[in-house]
Amino acid sequence: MGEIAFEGIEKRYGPMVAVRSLTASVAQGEFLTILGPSGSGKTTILSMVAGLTAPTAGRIRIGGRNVTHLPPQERRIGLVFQSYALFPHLTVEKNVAFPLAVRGTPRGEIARRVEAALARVRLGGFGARKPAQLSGGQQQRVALARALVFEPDILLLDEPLGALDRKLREEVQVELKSLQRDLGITTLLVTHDQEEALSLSDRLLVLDQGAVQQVGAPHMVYRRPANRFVADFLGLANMFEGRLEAGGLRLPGGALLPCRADGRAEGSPATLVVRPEHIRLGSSGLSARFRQAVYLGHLQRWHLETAEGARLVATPPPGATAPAPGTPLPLGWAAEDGWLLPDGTDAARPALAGTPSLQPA
Amino acid sequence: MRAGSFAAAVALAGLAFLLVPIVITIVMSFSSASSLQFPPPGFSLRWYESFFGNPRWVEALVTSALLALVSSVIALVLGSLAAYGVARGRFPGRGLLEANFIAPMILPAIVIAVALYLFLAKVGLLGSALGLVLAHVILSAPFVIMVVGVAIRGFDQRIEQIAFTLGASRRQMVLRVLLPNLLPSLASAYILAFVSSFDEVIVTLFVAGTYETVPKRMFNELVLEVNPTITAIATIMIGVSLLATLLIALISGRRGVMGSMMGK
Repeated sequence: MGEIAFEGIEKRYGPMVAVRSLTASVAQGEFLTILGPSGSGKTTILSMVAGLTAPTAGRIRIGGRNVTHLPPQERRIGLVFQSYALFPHLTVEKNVAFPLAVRGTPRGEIARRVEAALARVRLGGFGARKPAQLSGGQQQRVALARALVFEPDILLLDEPLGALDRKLREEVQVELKSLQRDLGITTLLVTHDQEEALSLSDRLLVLDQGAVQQVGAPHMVYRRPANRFVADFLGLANMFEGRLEAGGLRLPGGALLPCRADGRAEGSPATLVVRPEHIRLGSSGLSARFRQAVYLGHLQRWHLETAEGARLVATPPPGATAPAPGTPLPLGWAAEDGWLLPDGTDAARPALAGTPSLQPA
Repeated sequence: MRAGSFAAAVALAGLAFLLVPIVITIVMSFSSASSLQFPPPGFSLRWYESFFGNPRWVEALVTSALLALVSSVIALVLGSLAAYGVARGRFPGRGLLEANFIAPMILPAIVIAVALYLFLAKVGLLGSALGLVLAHVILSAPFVIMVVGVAIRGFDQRIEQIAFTLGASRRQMVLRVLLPNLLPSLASAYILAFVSSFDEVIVTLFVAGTYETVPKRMFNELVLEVNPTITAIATIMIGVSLLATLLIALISGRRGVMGSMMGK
């Protein structure tokens, strides 16, 4: 009843294409996250599912029903915005009661269901307060209770944790995930926060410039990125461009990097992705000079530079002491930890050979 | 003298310049003298008696009040709808349309007066009650559009969208979400529209025909003779404006007298 299907969805604003030929589906009970930078079209997709924006072409089905041209009132969706969008003039209770009240639900039933919904988000006893009297985390839970109280088929979340501080965010993530699982409600979340996406979702849909880059389980998308953009956007990635040889990837500077050729022809150009946590310092293969350490508390990151001028990032073992800048460090990685981008090189996003682009987490 | 105390002195002088004539007028309205004198030789309510004892003045007061009441209600309804359309609509020419609605507030009143005079004459409404009401609606609608427009722009559109996704019809959204949140601004806008109509004289002189409003009659009286009754009327007008200002201040609460115009 709650699966979502996008069939060739497209959205244009004049000459600008916000979303291009999106075909994807979200299974009943699944938690799918649309991940992308701002301006990638992810919020447009969400608002098309909600019925707040009409697609230029294509169809959207919810539970098999074509909802493309249905107004939001008839879509049976629960929506939570980053700004929560609580009704400022109504108490918490009346906010949560709103979707039931506009449907003409009997008063006794409203009271019962509102109480249950508030209890579910651990806000029992807060019913008489106004939204302005609540903390951000509490407001967020009211918004969630309000979106779920009328038992919608799907739940839409627009960066719901963006306004919360870091500590609270993780707590709410855990809560949100267990609530979603308990209710078994199909959920579509939109975010630019990769941590949120990785921790909450059953599957990720990575979006850039209105086009789907990759769809898959979080660990698959992280370990096996489809292209340079995905590798770069999701976590930190060291990327090297070179030509495949029997022993690995040969950089233009001469170094041979360990990786598996995966049956690709020798001599063909390829881009190798290595995550910082897979780089083993001290093992042989490549040599780089230490540049500086970035201390993050639970881990540190060392920024290094090879003799050819390629920069890379590695995660040293816990407790490692940073050497003096300029100290040469041998490093390497297991061949199976090197991932060759399937499209070889990415023409749309060219980069200098051997220069990894770094995206701070 | 320090710059701070100099500024304070200028401010006080400016305030005095604005307030003294008003205070003198109010004091003189309670004078017992039969001509305009300051300071008054004694105090009485004779000029208020003269005002309320004169059926032509009372009739003008009733006309003014009715005119302000009717035109401000129409201005509130039309102005709020226009403000919503201009603030939320996504059509080309919105800015132009808004400028057009606000124009009567910016253009010299005499220009509007002449334009309305010619227009109403052409459509045969010159000197009619309907024509007068229309003229006042055009003049007071800009106040509504400005005040309500700011309030609508300050109200997160996502709250309206959420209401729709939660199942509210457009009517339910307006009644249960939009109006309750705009209420203070709507009240302020209504009062401003009312006062602007109640005070209006220039356009009224041109288009009112035989209808007499208080300001129009005051103007005509002053041309003939300076009668102290004028000071009593002026005091009543000041009282109405003051009351309106107080009401707006009360409604806008901590946001200040003109807070609703300046936004949050």
